[in-house]
Amino acid sequence: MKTLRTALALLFIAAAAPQDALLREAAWTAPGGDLAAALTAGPGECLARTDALVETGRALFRSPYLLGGPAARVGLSCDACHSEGRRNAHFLLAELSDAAGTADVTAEWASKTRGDGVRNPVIIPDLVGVAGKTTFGGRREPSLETFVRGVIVEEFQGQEPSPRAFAGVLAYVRALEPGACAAPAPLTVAAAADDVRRAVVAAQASASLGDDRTTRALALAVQDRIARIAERLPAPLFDADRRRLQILSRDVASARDASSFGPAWLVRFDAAVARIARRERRTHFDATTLRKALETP
Amino acid sequence: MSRNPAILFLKTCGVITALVAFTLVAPQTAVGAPGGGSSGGGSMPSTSGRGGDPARAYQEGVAAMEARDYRTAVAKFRTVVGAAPNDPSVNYAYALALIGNGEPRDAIRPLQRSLRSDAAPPDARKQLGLIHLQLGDRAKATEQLAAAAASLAACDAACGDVRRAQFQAAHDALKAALDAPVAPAAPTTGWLIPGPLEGREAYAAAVGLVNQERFAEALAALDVAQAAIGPHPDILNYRGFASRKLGRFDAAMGFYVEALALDPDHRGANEYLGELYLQVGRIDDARRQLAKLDTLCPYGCAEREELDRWITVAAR
Repeated sequence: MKTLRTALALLFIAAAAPQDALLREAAWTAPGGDLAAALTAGPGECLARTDALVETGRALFRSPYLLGGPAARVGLSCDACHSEGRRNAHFLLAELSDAAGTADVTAEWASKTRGDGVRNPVIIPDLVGVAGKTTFGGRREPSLETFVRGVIVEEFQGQEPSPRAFAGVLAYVRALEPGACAAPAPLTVAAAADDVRRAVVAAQASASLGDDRTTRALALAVQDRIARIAERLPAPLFDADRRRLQILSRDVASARDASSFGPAWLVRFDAAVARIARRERRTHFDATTLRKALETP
Repeated sequence: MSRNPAILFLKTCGVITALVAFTLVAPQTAVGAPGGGSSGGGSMPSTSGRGGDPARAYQEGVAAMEARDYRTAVAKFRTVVGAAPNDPSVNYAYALALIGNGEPRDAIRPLQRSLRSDAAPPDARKQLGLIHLQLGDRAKATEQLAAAAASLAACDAACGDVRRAQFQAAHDALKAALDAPVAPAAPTTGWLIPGPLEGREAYAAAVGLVNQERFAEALAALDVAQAAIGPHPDILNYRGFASRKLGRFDAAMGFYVEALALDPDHRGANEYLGELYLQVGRIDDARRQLAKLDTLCPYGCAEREELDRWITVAAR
C-alpha cells in the first residue's frame, strides 16, 4: 500500500502517549511558534449574510458529526481545516499533512473510496469567495454541490446529509464573501457560547419545520459546541461548571428526538456561561493561562 | 488538569510523533475529560489509561529480548500475561522468553494458551513442536505437525496470503526438524518480534486496510502491530472489528472482551461490541452497550451515534 508509511509510521499508540491533551484542537495544530495563541484566536469570519439556513450550515460546518469514519472520531469537522470558513494555516495532522496548513484529500486514513496510494497533501484553501468559482477542489468538480457532497460522503465517510443540512452547508459556504471579513479575534467564552446559542436557534428553526433529521444533527452540533467550552475549563477550579455543562448537554441529548429546546434551557445555559465568564482569565480561553498549562510538564 | 504529558512528549520524542500522539488521545481526553471514556473506535486507535501499562511492560519485554536479557523478558511478559491472560501474542512472547531463558518446559503452557486462539502466531505451533521434540516426545511433536498442516489447509482467502505463508513456514520448519536424523539442539527461539516503529507502521497500514475493507490483510498487519506494541485496547478493538467483518464472531468477541478488560471505558470497543451483538441477534445487549456509551459520552460521541444508528436499523 501506499507511502503513508512516512508519516503514518509515526502513529503512536505506545504507552508513552500523553493521556491528557489539553484541547482537542491540539491534535491538529502545528507545534512550535505560539501554540497557545494559535489555539485561542480565530482568523475572522467573512459571513456576508445570515438566515436560518445559513445558520444551520454554520453549525454543521463546525460539527464532526457531519463527517464520519476516523475523522469524526478524532473530532475533525470542516472547521478544523477551514477555521471560520478560512484557511487553518496551523492545521497539521500526521495522517493527512506534511506541513502546516496542508491536508491529503485522497488519504486512505479518512476515505474508503478516495485513497490514491500516494501521499500528496495540498494546501488547504480559504473558502471565502468560493461561490464565484467555476470548478471546485483538486478533482475540478463542476458544481459546489458535487464537491461538498463528495467531501462529506466520500472523502470523510459521512452519512448522506439531510436535504436541509446539505442545503445549509452550501448556503453557509456561499455566504462567505471577501468584503465581509471580520478582523481576527480572540476566542472567548462569549464567542464560544454564542456558537452554542446560534446552533440552538438553528435547531429550533429546523424543529419548527418538522425536520427531525436535521434537528438531530444540529442537536449533536450543540453538544459538540458545549464540549468545546467544557474542555477549556481546567479542573478542579471549574469542576462545578463542567458538571452544569454536562447536564445541559444531556438535556440536549434527551431532547434531540423530541425536536425541542425550551427557552428554559437557554436561561440555564446563559447562567452557566456567566459564571464561567467571570473567571475567564483562569480558563484555557485565556492565552496566558493556556500557555502556562501547555508548558507545565 | 495539572500536568501536560504532551509537552514532555514534544520535548523528548519529536514534533510529529507528538502530534500524532496528540491526535490519538486528544479527542477522548479533552472532550471526555468530564465524563471519561476513551475512543479508539473507527480506525483511530488511541491510548487508553488502563491499556497503557501492559503495553509498556510488553515493550520492555521486547527490549529485553532484543538485548538477550531473557530473565528480564520473562519477568516483564509474566506481568503482561497477568493483565491479558488469554492474549495469543502475549503468551507466545512469554513462551519465547522462557525458551530463551532455558525453561522450555515452562514454555509449553503459554504456547498452549496461545494456540487456543485462532489468532495465535503460526510460529507458536512450531515452537511447541520443537519443544516436544527437544524433550524427546516425538509423538507430541508429530501432533503439532499435524495441527500445523490442518491450520495451513484451513487458511482460506479470508485467512490471507501473509498468514498462509507464516503457516507454511512454521509447518515446513517443524517437518524438517522431525525429519532430521537427530533431534535438534535447543529449539531456536526464532522470535521475530518487530520493533515499536515497525509496529506503528503496521498499525498505520492496518488503519488504511480496514478503511478499504481489506480485512484479512488488516489482521496480518495488526498481528505485527500487536507483536510490537503488546496488548493494547485499540489494536484489540481493530482485531475484533476485522474479525467480525470476516464473519469470525467468536474471535471478534474475544478481542472485544480483551480490549474492555484492559479499558472498560474504551468507546470504540464498547461500540463495536454492541455492533457484534446486533450481528448475532442480541439486540438487548447492544442496547446495553449504547447505554454505556451514553454514560461515557456526556457531550455525545461518534461511537454512540454509530451504534445508535445500527440499532435503529436492526430494530426495523
